[in-house]
Amino acid sequence: MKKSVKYSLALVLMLSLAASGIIILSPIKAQAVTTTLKIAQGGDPITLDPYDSWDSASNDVILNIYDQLVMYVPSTLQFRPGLAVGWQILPNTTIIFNIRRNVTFHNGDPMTPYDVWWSLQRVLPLYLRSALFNSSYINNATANPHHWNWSEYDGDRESFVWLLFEPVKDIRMADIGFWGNTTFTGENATAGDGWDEIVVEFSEPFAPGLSLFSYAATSIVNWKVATELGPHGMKFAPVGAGTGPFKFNSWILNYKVVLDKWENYWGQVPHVDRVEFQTILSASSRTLAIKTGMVDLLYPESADWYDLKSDPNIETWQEAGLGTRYISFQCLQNVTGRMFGILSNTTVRKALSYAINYDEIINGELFLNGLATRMTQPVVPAIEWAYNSSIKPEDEGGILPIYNITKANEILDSLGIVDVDGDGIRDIKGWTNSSDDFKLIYGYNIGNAVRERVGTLLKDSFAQIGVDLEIQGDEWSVFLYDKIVNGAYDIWMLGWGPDYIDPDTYFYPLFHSKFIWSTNGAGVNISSVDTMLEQARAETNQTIRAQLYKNVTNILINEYVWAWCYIPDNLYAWRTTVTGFKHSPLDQMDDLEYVEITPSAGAGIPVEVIAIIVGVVVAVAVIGGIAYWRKGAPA
Amino acid sequence: MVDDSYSKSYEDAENFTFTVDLPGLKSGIVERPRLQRFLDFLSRLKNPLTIIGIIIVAGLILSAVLAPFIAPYNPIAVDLNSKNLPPSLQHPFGTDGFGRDIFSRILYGAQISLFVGIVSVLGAVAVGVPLGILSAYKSGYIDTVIMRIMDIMLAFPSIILAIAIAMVIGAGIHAVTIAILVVSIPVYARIARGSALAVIQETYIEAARAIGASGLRIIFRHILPNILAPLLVEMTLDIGSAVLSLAGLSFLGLGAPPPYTYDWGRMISDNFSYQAVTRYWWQLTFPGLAIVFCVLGWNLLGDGLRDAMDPKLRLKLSKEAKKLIKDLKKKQRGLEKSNAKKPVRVVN
Amino acid sequence: MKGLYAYIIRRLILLIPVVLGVMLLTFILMHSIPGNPVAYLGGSGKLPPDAVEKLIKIYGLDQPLFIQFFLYLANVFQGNLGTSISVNPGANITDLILTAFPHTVELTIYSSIIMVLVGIPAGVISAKKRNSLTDNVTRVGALIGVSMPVFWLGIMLQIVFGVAIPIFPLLWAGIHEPAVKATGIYLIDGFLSLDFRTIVDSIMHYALPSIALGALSLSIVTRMVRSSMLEVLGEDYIRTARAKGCSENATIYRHALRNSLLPATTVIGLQIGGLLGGAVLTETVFAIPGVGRLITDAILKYDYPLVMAGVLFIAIIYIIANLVVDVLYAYLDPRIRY
Repeated sequence: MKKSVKYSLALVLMLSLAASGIIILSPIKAQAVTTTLKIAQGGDPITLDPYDSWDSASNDVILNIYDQLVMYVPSTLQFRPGLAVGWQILPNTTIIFNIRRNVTFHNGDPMTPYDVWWSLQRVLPLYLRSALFNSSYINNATANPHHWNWSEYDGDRESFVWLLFEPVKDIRMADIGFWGNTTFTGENATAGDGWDEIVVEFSEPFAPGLSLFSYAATSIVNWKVATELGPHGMKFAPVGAGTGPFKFNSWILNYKVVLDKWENYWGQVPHVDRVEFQTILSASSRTLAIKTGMVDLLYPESADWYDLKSDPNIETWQEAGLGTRYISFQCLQNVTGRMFGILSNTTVRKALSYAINYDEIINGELFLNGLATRMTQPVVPAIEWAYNSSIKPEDEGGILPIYNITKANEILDSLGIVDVDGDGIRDIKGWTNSSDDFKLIYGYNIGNAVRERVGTLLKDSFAQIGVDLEIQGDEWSVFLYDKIVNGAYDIWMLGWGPDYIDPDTYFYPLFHSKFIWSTNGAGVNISSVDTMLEQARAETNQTIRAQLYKNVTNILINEYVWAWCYIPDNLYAWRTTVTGFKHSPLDQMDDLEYVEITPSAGAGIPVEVIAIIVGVVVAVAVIGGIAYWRKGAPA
Repeated sequence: MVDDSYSKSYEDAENFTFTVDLPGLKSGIVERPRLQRFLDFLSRLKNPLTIIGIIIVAGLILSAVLAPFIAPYNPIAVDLNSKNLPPSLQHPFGTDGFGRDIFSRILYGAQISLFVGIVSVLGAVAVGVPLGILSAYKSGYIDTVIMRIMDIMLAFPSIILAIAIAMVIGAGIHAVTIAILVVSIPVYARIARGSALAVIQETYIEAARAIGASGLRIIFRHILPNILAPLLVEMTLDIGSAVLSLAGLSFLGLGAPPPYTYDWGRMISDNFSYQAVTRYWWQLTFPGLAIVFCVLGWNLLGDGLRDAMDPKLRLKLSKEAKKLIKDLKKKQRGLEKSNAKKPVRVVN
Repeated sequence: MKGLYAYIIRRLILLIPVVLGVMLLTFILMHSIPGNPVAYLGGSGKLPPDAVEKLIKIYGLDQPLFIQFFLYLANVFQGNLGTSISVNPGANITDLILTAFPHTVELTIYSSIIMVLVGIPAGVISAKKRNSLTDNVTRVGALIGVSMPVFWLGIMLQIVFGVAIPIFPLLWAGIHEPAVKATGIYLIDGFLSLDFRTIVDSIMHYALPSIALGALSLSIVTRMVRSSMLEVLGEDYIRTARAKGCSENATIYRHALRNSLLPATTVIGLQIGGLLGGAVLTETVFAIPGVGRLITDAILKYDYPLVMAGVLFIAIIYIIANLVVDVLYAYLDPRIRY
């Protein structure tokens, strides 16, 4: 056979292959379009079992699979009826929820008050749970063979949020007027037969009680499904367990969680057919993903914010958040194994507060990139009634320290802490017996870029006031559970997120002396603060509470226990194909049922073009190879 | 770190040399003085690639030593007024997000790279070579145990072993150094054992034993000098791969703690962001180039050393012999050319 | 052939102590790392200390070390690798590794194709035209390839081919998933189900990572082939072939190539074994959920069981690759006796 004939045959073969590829391809393109909302997350969810969740990746998924008794009006901090159509708050210690009727779980089961009761008791401390199960009016339930087996669940593991539910004394199903003394039908109770109230009793007055029932952890699950699936199933594939707008489809570990639209949702039926939560660990990868249209919605990186904002295909939302970030000083006089002292002096803390470049931390591109506001006090402005708006930084005419090296130097000089030996570092002999040089340790957790960079920044500014700073990175658990609580650092940066929308969560665990060695890492030990915080917790009059919190705030600010750093903004970014996204002030992605998505032409080169290119390249390569082989190795 | 470092020992195969088999040349071999020997060695390094390697390595050492004197800026001084500046006359390689001069940081980074490279390699030699020689010299039970342990260490992907070790010790340059050191121990143990085994079979060892030389004397006097050449080559090449390993580990966040983050790999990972990829390319490009040049320099030097130390070339040839070889080479080249000109095609 | 089987069996038996040693070494390493996997579950720091203590008991982390090790051994021999503590709490480790592994395999396939299809011809041409411009360019290129950090090359490829000239997708994320998932390797699944889009998508998404990863192996193979080719070209039988008037091409491709590929087989085999063990940095830069990234993640989060299982898995794969290479070599080279 002639060579040219062979080559042309090969060419025809290749081209027909490429063509057949396109033909095979076309039916796929022609398939009915399902609308999919793709969301990028920075980490895989830990669990899809609500009672066990604490991380934001899990929460975002859980909030869309399940509903809670109390939910938020989209984009606000106002409560709206969720699976409870209404509630009554009886004086001081009791909340009665009226359970919504005609709600069905994803597997078609109707939701009953028993499901509600069963789901709520799961988050309680263990001792309360067993007490509830043993109490007389639910004996029938404990006798049930399908009863949830605690020991199955990693031993007697408690919910991660159980501590918050310690004030709860009792949760029971009830009918108003017949509390506790009617015949109980246990899990067979259905909505509508009189058993559609859930009563929650607190052991002490607890002002923020209602918000406990809006947590992802208190989501209502189908108890039958949960019992059948067992802990492992609930964690990884809670099929039919929720009542939320989306039902679980699949979870490919470390890759994505897929949820499908739930047609019979009691509220707004979702517009999109499918939601995918994709795990993309690297921050820059996430930014690229939304820019190229691989995902539709995410929490953007502050560093890339302005790129996203200026992108015509992307919409963004920014508002002040509810979390706080502060630099804490070790205020304790004496810690076992380590002598402190210098930072127990309020004036020294004040001097250091002036050596922190707040402006760079808030506006620097490597830090918050302008996407934060200065924190002025423990509580955030969103909680208006307890927020003292008259406290302002010095450059705005207030009293809070701003970055002012000269002032910091003056204060230290006036204290008599000066550089004696001329090495550029102030000497503190006589102040403490730890060392002569004024040397401090800054701790951060490895992997937290902002905290690490703050260390670099502090090192530089502190050098200018004659203070030597050692930067020490530790693994997260060591950082939190070992170093901070044992006073191994002098200064460190931490964040705080509210457990509930009430000033109590911004004060009580952080400044009450009861929590020194745990959440009160700074070691704030002021008896008047303790008394006022306890008073405010039990008080129901908002005016009195506000005054108490404002008093505490004044004391803390004048004591310089923390350097009040910033309040990060909540950031969302979504592609313009997405409409109706409700940005929650709680920095979470619930309410995805309102989202609509218009299928776009798709970014990048069309698949057909790629197919032709690949086909031609392969053909050329093969023919070239044959030609070369023929030339190179004559037969 | 390279994703796979099992390749090291296979690079040896590169040492191709042109050998001439001529019995008549033997008459030309003469004993030469040490200085002459050294000069010969130097003359064999005259390969242009090797010279580039020497220049790079020398530059590296110079910049590490002289960094405090020649660096225009303090590598850790924050200057918030000159953040993210592109390369210019003031900042030849631009500045990073803290306004630190990248050029100065790269100069200082040479200190870390050199320190980690040299210390980890010397350490690995100090542990691995005695193990290898012991293994070869004692043979039997000890040999088996040592080599099995080395096998186990080699069975780990080196980067994962290094990450684990670095995490045991805690982040920091010392931890990374020890991690790289431990990972390269088996390589040296194997080389030392292999070379030592070859030497032990020689008759002069037999002779030394016969006249009652102690084991230590045999090891130090006879075995060690004879395995030095392959070791030196491997060490040079290994400094290069140690720098790569350091870069990889730093990229994963296990390198020097702040503020001394002017390690090259760390500079890349610290600056690696969407902003840097799309806008501040100099923050990623220059530290990377520094790594490439550094490793390339050590590799070129290693290759050159290997060629120069090749025992097959270690003949001092008389003038006549050299001329003979030259003529022969010429002839062969002529033959090749004439062959190439008229290819004989086998037609079937 | 009989000898070959005996050789394989002998080698397999010799593997047992190595595997046990790998397990012991990983175990010791992981338990020397400061930090506590359980505390990691606390994430945002809301986990109370007594809950941590409880979890430590549940996971048996309070037992003496040697007891923990024997428990671990016993479990592994029953085929139970345990459950993850902090990466995906409660997830079956075998599942985790088996979902991650196909992606690593796919990356390895592409990198190997680049390595073989580019590396061998480059080495041959370089040797054939020794000291020519082509040779020098190839040699320097290969040297630079060996000297380049993989992650940096990956980033540079992203800058050039993802941002400046956007040809390829920058990330693994967004890859088209095959409808039929028989193997988990998308390329193969695409061919099995004749799903052209999956094939194209797989090629496009793995292009940059496999170039970044393949560059190193490619350089190593090129250097190896070149030097062994040169060595072979100096052999007597090549001279004979030339002397009897064989054409230059025939000499090289018929006589020299075959013999010089023998040592290259070893290198390629070991490279593939190494690549299968997870390309930690490449997977990190391109966000590919493969084995390397899984194990790094596990180490950084102190997930003892996952790290131990993953390292064991990789070590066994590498040991097997070694064994296969040795056997293949013994099979291909009649001079080798076993």
